[in-house]
Amino acid sequence: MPTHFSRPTLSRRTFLRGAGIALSLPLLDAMRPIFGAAARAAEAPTAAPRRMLAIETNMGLIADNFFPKETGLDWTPSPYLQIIQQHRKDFTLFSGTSHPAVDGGHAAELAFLTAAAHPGAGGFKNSISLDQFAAEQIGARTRIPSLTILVGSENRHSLSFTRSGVMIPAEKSAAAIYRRMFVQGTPQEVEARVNDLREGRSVLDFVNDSAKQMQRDLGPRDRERLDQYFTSVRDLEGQLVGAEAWEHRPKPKVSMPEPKDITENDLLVQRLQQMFAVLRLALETDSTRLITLFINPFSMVPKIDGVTHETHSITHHGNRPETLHELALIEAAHFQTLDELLTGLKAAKEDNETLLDRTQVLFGSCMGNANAHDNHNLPVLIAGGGYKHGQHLGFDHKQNYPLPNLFVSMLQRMGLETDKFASSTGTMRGLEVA
Amino acid sequence: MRSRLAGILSGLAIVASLAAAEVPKTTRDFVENHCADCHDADTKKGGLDLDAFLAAPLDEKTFSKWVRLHDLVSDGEMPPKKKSQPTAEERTAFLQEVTGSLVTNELARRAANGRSTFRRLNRTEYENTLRDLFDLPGLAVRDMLPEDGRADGYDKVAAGLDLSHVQLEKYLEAANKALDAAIATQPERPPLFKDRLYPGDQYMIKIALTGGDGVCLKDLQYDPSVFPEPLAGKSDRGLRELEQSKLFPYRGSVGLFRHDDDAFHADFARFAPIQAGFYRVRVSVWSFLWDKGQVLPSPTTQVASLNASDRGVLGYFDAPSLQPTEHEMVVWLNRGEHLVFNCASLVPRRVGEEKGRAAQATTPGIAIDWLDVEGPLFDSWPAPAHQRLFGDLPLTQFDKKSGIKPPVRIPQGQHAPANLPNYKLDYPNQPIWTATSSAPEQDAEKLLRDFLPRAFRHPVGDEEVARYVGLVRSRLASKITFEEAMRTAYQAALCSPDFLFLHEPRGPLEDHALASRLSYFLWGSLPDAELTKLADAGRLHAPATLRAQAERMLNDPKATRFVTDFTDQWLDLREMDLTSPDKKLYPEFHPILRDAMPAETRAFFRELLVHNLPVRDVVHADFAMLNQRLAELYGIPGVSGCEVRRVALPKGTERGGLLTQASVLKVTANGTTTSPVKRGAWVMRKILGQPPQPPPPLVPAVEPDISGVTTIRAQLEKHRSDPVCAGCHAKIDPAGLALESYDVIGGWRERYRSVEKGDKAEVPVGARNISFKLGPAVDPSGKLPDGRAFANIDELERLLLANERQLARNLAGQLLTYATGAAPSFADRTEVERLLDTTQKSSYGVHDLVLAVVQSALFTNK
Repeated sequence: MPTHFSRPTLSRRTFLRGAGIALSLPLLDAMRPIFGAAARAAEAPTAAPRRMLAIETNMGLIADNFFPKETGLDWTPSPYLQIIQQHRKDFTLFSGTSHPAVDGGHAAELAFLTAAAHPGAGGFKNSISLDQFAAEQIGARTRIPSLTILVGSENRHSLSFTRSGVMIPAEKSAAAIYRRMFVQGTPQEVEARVNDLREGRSVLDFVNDSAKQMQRDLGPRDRERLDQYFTSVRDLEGQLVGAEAWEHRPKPKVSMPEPKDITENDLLVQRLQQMFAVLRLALETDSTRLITLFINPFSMVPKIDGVTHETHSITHHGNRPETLHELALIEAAHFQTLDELLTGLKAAKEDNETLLDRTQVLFGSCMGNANAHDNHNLPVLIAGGGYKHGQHLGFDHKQNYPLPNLFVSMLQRMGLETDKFASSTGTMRGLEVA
Repeated sequence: MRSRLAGILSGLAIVASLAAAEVPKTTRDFVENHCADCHDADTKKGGLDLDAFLAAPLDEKTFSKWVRLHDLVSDGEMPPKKKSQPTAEERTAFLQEVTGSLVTNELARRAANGRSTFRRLNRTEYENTLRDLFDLPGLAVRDMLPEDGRADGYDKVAAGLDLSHVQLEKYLEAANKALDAAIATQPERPPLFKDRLYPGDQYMIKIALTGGDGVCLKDLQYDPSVFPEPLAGKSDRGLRELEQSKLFPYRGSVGLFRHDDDAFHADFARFAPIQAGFYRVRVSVWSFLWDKGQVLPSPTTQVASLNASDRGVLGYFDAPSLQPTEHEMVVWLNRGEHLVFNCASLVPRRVGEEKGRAAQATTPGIAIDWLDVEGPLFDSWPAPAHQRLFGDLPLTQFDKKSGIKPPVRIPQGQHAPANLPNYKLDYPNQPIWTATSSAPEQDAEKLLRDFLPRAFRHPVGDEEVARYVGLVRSRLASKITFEEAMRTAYQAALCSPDFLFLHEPRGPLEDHALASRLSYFLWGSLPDAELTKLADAGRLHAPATLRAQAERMLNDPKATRFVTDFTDQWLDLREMDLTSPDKKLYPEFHPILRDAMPAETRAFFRELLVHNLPVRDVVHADFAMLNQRLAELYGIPGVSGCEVRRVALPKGTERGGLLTQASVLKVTANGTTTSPVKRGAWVMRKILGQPPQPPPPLVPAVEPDISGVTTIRAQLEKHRSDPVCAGCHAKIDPAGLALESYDVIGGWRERYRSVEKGDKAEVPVGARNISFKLGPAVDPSGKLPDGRAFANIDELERLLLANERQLARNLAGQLLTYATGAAPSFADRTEVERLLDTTQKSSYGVHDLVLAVVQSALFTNK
């Protein structure tokens, strides 16, 4: 829901929030080595770390400006693809795909990474998102199990959902992410954070004792119910132990200084650039391997030459040429920042590959036609990740190919053993590993 | 016809429990003589092999099958009519023996565990409890928690209430949220904010104006002097240009054409309270018809609503045609929560996306003149919430140089400080106030001694209080404030199983457990001071006291929670939004109608409860609880306005009772078609208390036809012609067939709506145009399994009313499940019958039934 004025943040720093634990993680193996070559060696001698950065802009993209007319390898760049054309051999784009049964216009933004059906219906319950699915298995390998980011609105909406369908509040401050990854904090600050985690554990210990006392009065069937409480406490405690282990390990040193958050809402391009810089650093230092970025320019009037209307209203262009032109300026700006991001990822090397080779960058929108609030024929591309790229894979515009198949491919590329995600029917046809 | 069990158990020489795998003689003989022909190991009619069944021990798994066997023989359904029948004596002897065995077996199992199982609070109860504990009526924590499951139809039963670390993590967060809201951060009462807000100052409404979804109005006319765009025909200027051209702020009225949707909310964002509390809100509204620049009278009184941005509707009010009307309400707002206006009765439509926009549109609209806000309204300071935690300890200024860690304070401010100069609390620069104690451990003990029994709903011993004080002590040792140290203890208390679970030791419920069960039944929350006092004195369980307390609680406003929650779950109203009526087939379905539907049903149940109306009104009543939109749907004239009120039904309206209410008819249908099977099964489960057997596996679903070729009745032909199907469907389908006279939104129909073949139809009330035709005629006739026939819903209702006791038995069972967390079982039947006997005098009045439930042994024991 769009709100123009910020509301005071209610969330108090809890011992869990401060440690940045993503929800629903299994017990962490505190014995794993930290980061860097030693950690990777310990993981599996030959396994290269693989990463994922999923980006969604929720106002749609003008189809004619995105999709080339031809499919296959010999396509003429569309206006937006022209902007990233130096990376032509490093991405694949898709047409004729969408998530089965995901409709509801804007509501589809809830299901971009979950593919849960009918997100606009009353009583909708979401399911686990692509990044959290991966985080359950590999999140523990990095200091930050996963990063959930928002550039745009005043709220904290995100693309990431837990297994029980709960939205994970997004991080919006590039500075805060930077600090979490690289600022060691004074010994007192580390001590304070460790104390918070220990406080959390002592509360859990305390209530565990309460439960032990209660147990004595209960009959056998009632005791089975109380057992669930003990299990929950134990699981939560495990997460706190893991978080404390990371607190004691030194953070990586980087040359980029701490950024100062851009507070002006309308500086869309600058905010994206700033965030991309921090995210690239996050991937380079292996601080995290799973990132989702939700771009929501809904109520912005982006500070771009030629733009005077606020984004959402001009997505309902009614095919008026001057409105389409203005909207295209905003959308093109997305691709300019994407171009810079891909260049940056290519420039960073890891072992004998580039960081882009080891990072799957997904970019797209939840609406194929924002003017009509239609959720078919979504504009989607995937860059990097070590696939054979350069193609426009064109599927059926009338009977869309299931996009969750791309998610299955992405999960498998990360080394996860799975052959299903939400309503997938297999892996993405035509997308092969190099 | 269930046999009356009163007296059956007395004086019987009870046989050994069947669990000993020794089937007693009478039972064995009866089965051999009257059942074995069809149900032995070779024939196994209906899949039932009684040889194997009798050899198996009687335990939890086989128990329900034995109950079914008992009931089939007791009802006379088995042996089938065309087979030779046992004598009356044989039947009675068999039933008595089986009853004895089953009851003994069940009671033995129950001795260890009680009827109901230990359970946690569901999320509705959790929220209510925190709200009542801290006196924070608007605290929003329910939606932070994952949804609960249901068992036996209710989220008050242990089997549906699992607990995982996901909930526990959320409980920690929710406790923090409650403590943040409760703890006062200023020593003085916050200054009273009093201001008039204008729609033209609000960002989203400005977007609507520039986007063609609204117009500026003055003196009940279009105001071109301010904003000529909608009619001038120019391409619109963007918002940035307009703001720079100083057209805004606009202080006149704004007429909106647009209902709330996923891209638009008329958010009065310029006001966001810093302090949670009660606010007096006054709004001036009226309605009109916009016709290409002209402001004309509205065709009907429109309805608007004010919503709290985090929690939904605060209230509905009427907007009469061309008549600015003021409405006032006192509402609770959480910190930072906005007031959002909604043109609730307008049909969703985006004039701004249509060709010519407002200049060429004819559309109804609702105008807002202004919105006054005054608050927060406090009788005293600090508020009760703070006093619950810190008593009357003084708030003193924190010494930032003391070397102690300061308490966490969240900076608070509004984005538009210009009109709220006193309302910025920017903490690096502000002094920090915090509750202080000169004798922390003693004060901690005093505060915890008061807090813990309240939160836990039972007395707390010295040792336990000392344990919590120990937690405070260890926190104080790490150089933090008294406030922060106490917070840890409070958070631990709110996450302990003593808070999260309902504590009911086995056997007769002790007074505190009884008080708790009573308050979670009728208020969905913890007991109040009066109940607790009676429990402390050990006087609550006295029957007259228990009854008087239940009466008092039913008269308390908090009983609304019971009416809403029980009705929603009993009748499956939570599924209201599971399907959306097809826009082509049901163009008259709009959000305002959808909102009115559950309101009718809740008001109806409340009416039955308050006036002790007889249970038969559930099936047929001579009144209905309606507002204008519902009356339009039902074709009942003379009802105007949004308020739901009692309306005497004219003869021949085919309404009255639960079966024919729109909410019920909607949740038993999908978006395009109705299903006699679904509706019939609903009636059996919810009204008669006789749930149908599950369907056999591998029966394919019927694809209903909306092309107007055939009817669902014809498609279900096999249910009548095939004896295997008819076994169950002769019982299930009849009520559903009678209810075919009502479509998916509860409107009366004599012909089905079709998208292809059919005759011309009239535009229904509330629709702009029509896109369906009239298909085949509806045939609502049918026959009950005993042969009694009915031609329509009216006649079916009369047949159902022939057994009022069964209706009462069902309602009592529903109430018992809701109230005790366990559905009445076989061994409970005697007590249920006794309970019903006490309400026979008032024809099973609903109020009497609720009181009888409270006084029953099933309620006063675990």
